[in-house]
Amino acid sequence: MAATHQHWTLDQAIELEAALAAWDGSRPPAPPPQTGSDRGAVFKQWLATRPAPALGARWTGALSLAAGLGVLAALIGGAGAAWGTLDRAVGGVHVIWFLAGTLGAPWLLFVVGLAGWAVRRRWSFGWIARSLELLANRLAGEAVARVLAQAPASSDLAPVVGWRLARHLQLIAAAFHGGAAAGLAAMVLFKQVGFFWETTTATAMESLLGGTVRVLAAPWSLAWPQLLPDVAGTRRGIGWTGGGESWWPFLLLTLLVWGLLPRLGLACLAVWKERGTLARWSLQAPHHRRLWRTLTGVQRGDDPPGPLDGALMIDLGGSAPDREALRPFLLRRLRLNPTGWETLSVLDASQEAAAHAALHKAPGGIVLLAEGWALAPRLLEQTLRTVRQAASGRRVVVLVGNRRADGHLQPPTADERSAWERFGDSLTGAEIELVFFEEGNR
Amino acid sequence: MSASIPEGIPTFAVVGRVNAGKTATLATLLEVDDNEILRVSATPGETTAVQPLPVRYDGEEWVRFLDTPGFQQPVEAMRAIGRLASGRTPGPAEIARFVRDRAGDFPDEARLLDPIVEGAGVLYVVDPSKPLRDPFLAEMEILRWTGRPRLALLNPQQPASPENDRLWRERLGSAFNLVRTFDAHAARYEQRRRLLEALLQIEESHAERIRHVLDAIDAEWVQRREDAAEAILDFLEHALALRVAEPIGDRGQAIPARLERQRNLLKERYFAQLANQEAACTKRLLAIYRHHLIAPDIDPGAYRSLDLATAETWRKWGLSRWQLATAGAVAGGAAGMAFDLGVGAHSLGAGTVLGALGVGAGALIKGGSLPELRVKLGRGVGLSHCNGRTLVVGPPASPNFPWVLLDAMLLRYAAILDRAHGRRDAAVLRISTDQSRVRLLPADRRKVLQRWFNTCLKNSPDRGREPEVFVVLLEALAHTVNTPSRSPGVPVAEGESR
Repeated sequence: MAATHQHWTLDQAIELEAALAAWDGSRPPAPPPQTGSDRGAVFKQWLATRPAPALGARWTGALSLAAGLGVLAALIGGAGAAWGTLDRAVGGVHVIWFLAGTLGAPWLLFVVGLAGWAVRRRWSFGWIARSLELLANRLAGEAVARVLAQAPASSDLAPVVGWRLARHLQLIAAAFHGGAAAGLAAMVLFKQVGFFWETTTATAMESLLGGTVRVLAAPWSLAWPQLLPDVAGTRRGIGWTGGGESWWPFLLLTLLVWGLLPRLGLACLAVWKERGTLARWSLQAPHHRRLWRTLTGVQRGDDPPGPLDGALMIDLGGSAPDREALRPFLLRRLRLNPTGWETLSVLDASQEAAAHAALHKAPGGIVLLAEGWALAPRLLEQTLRTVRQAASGRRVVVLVGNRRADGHLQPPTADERSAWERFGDSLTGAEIELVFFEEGNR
Repeated sequence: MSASIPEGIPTFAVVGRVNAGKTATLATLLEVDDNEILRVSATPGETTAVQPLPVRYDGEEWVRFLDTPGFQQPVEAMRAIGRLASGRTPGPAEIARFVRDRAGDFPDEARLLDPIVEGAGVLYVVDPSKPLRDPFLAEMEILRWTGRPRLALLNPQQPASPENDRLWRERLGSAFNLVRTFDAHAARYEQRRRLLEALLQIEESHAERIRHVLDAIDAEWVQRREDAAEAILDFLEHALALRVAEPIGDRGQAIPARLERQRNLLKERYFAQLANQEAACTKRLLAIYRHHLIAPDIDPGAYRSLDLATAETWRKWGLSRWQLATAGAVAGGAAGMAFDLGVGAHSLGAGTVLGALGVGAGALIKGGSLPELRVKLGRGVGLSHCNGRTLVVGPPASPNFPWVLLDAMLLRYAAILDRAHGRRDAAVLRISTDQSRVRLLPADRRKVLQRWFNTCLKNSPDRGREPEVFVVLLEALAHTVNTPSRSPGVPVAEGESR
């Protein structure tokens, strides 16, 4: 049960799942050479022998494209969010709304998504991830979507897909913060905007905002204390006419340090986790185990054919002897195993037809069972002619015995025996094997 | 080389007196329980001609066995061969002449000696419960004269007396390279393997090919165990999730007798479906182990296999009450711990403690009681004629239910392994209620299973845990292999000859 040492990529993992979904359970004509118990190596070799529709690459490519669109939208969204906090009437940016919209809201979404995952224990990151996945599925096509629809059944693949989605989500979020930073820079450079804050609970908010600013600026405040904004002096009063330029370096650094960098860090973490999950991929799901057994297991050949001593017994006249009692004699004396019983020279035409139809079946030979007293040369000659034609080289035996009341056979009388022998000698053409039932051989 | 002795393939002719059990030995060794391929019966002379039985793996033949007719006139044949040697000790040349010139007088002896003359090794099968008479000595002498590698197999068809056994071994020891015991009606995998290993000792020139067969049957055995574990895993998952439901009309809800009748009908349907699943799993296990004659002991019409209504079933199968309580406490504790974590450990571990105590105590109290099927009148789809109420039945409320199911399958597995392919009684697979297999599982393995059972009972099997459960099942099946069932297993049908 060792994990594979040849690491997989998500593309390959999806490719494998797609190949397994299309696999009919058959063993390839030339199974891959076994590499110890390294499932990964054996599966990769198997994958190489399959037609390569490149579904994995198509899906991850589509996901990257969808994520790229998401990054673009997030850049615009971030810039828009920054611009949205600009009060055009007074030409100033409301710093509280700026911090809440460009930093607080994305992180709140992150916390909600994380809590949802912790509670539901499912590899889903909310509606953004779902939208991304749906868009990727749409871009990649139906075939990939079908494979990924089965991915939750493969408990190993679902977290890998989850980490890939997480990576893209963090990049999108980073783009949002980046867009906000760009928007802020554009406002400062091109519109020379001012910065302010206002509230009805001035003292409380000043204290809260001051505390928040100190916490947010902690990473650089010791080195550059001049980059701390003047909180008290930027409260918008009745006669506010602008100013508050000390805010923009702080806001820019806050977006970089508390937005962009952590998101990039999380994206790197997702990459690392994805690789780690794939490296630990044990390939032990039921369908992986089935494939492993098929590829590496031994295959026993078909059972040999049975003995070719099966004989067709044709009961002439319908004496209906006890078949079980007669069988040991047939096995030991004739070395034939009675596998079929038919009747000839009876009134029932259907029985006769069945006997004629069965003549071609038994590989061992044909045994005509006649009663000693019932020798009818003309009838027998005719029957033998038919049987010989059908036998085409197989053994033909005429077994002579008389049926007792209990169904067992008994040997023919001496007169009957000599009559049968004379009849046998008189036959021309192919020889027949004439056998008399003997008591001791029963 | 003749047609029955291919070049480069070690070939062994299985010879012996008529009705010594040659074909049964081969049937067990090669796992063939089909009379169309290998006829085994009490009728002497059942084998009429030499029958090649190739052992093929991965499309290539590695070893070949030959089923032969039995010796019929060994003493006369020995004398005839002696005469061909003109006073000298006969050897392979005289045996070859005998086969060529005296086939008319000794058809069976000529047939069975022919492949040996052509180069086949000898597997001589005797029944040590029979007294050692001169015809046997003649057979041994003839086989000694062939000069081929010889292995003698003691196939006791009845218990042999110690004196008989000693005599046979002494005599065989002087004429054969190796003497081994192989009970064709009771031999398990280990005995089959030992027999093949013995071939290595008498036929060194083809050691490579025989070793390949040994490796192949080992791999096949492991593969089968994995297939069996898959089958049991599938069965448990589906059986634990099984529920039968039926919409209940307004009148059905209003009249208690009608509701009761509906409930009983659903219970019957539940047990019938459970029996079908159990039968399907047992058939799958039988097919994995190449058994075709034996039938599962399950009748979906009258649920007799597990007999869940019988107190004895619940007392003897599944876990003991204390084991159940321990397993339940672990599962309950795990659920409680999830709660503790969910509230950020503000509960100070109370969830874990209460969960463990509550579920453990419940299992201890309810573990020994007769199980009642869970019956729930739930709110279903709002159909106009039934007011949206649905009656749902199953599974039994007893915490021992999954363990009883697992025990039933482990015991069936043991009975299947105990069944030799040389037997031809088309009996029903019977399992014993004398011993529980799951009680022998180590505590940590029981915990793994209990957690997975809980998710299956909730109809959402934990896929992440499933590989671990698979490994635990594999270990349990391996333990079954090493612990032969003391159950009555498969009874010999009346009148059946061994």
